[in-house]
Amino acid sequence: MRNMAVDEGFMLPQHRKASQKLISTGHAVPIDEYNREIRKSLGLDELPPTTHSKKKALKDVQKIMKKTGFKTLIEGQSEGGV
Amino acid sequence: MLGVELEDIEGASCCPAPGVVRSFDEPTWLALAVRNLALAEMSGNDVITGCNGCYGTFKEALSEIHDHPEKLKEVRKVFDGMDITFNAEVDAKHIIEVISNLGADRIKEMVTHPLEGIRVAVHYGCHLLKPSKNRPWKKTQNHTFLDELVEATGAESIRYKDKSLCCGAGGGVRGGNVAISVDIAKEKLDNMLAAEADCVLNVCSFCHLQYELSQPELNKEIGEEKYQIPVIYYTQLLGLALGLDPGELGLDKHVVNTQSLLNKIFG
Repeated sequence: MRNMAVDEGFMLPQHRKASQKLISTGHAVPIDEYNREIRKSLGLDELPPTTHSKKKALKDVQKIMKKTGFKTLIEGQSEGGV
Repeated sequence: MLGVELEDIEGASCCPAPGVVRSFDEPTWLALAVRNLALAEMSGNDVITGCNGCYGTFKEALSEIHDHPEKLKEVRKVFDGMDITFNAEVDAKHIIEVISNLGADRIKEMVTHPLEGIRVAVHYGCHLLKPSKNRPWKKTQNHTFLDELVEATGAESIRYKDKSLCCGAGGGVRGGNVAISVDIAKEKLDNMLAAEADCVLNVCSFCHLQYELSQPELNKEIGEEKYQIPVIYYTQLLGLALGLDPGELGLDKHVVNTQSLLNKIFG
């Protein structure tokens, strides 16, 4: 049902924001400064080996979201939501 | 220690989150999920997740492509021109499923520092258990496998009201309406406090975040420090029972201070 509502342009601004983060970083919840510090202090790389640090991977993920129409769905609609 | 070797999935993205992405656009959700599964498969590994939402996404994506081969065909078209091959032979498991398969008895044998006297409020989380037809657990309700794994550490899994209630974060609720989301968490936390829990135990990054962030939010709202239940992931509890250092387990990095629990364990 939400697929249909979103298709009609009904989407909470907060959910749109999470989707925009997915489009720009490959993660709906991108890593923040606090968690980067925690990773470092635990002896891990500051960034995980995900789309956060792999440019080609991020490009592929963005290509997928363009091909499926997700990018247009999220960015092609006016702000405001329900 | 458990004989399981972990390897990061290089280039992985968000699973993606079922609450928002699947409910917004299922083909996008499926294509991104299959890409992650394919990366694991290409590296010769199955997927292990530590998050119930990711677990739900991967289990259900696998079920979609096995039950509806035409959907996999569509996904392959989306992958055209990318260096991705996928034979749909990979499996996805939750870390607690792997530990559960080792068995509570095996865990009990390994414990060197039994956590006697520790009262644990177990929170299973929704996507770990539902939909039952696509989950590996023996029961469809009144689950006990996680309680058994907790008790294998020597701690006590306590009874509390509405134990199987959602934490309030999933389904896009925390992302869409924080106040409602925190209100649901409050109900669970109140029930845990009434049962005199020493900690809330979870096996999901999002449930974990919800209990960690909701407590200071609630304290701010009421102007007192009522909500201070340490929020512990199962592997942290297990690590303590195996004698690992709390710092090594990241227990000094939590939002809600874990010291009250550590004091009770170490005296």
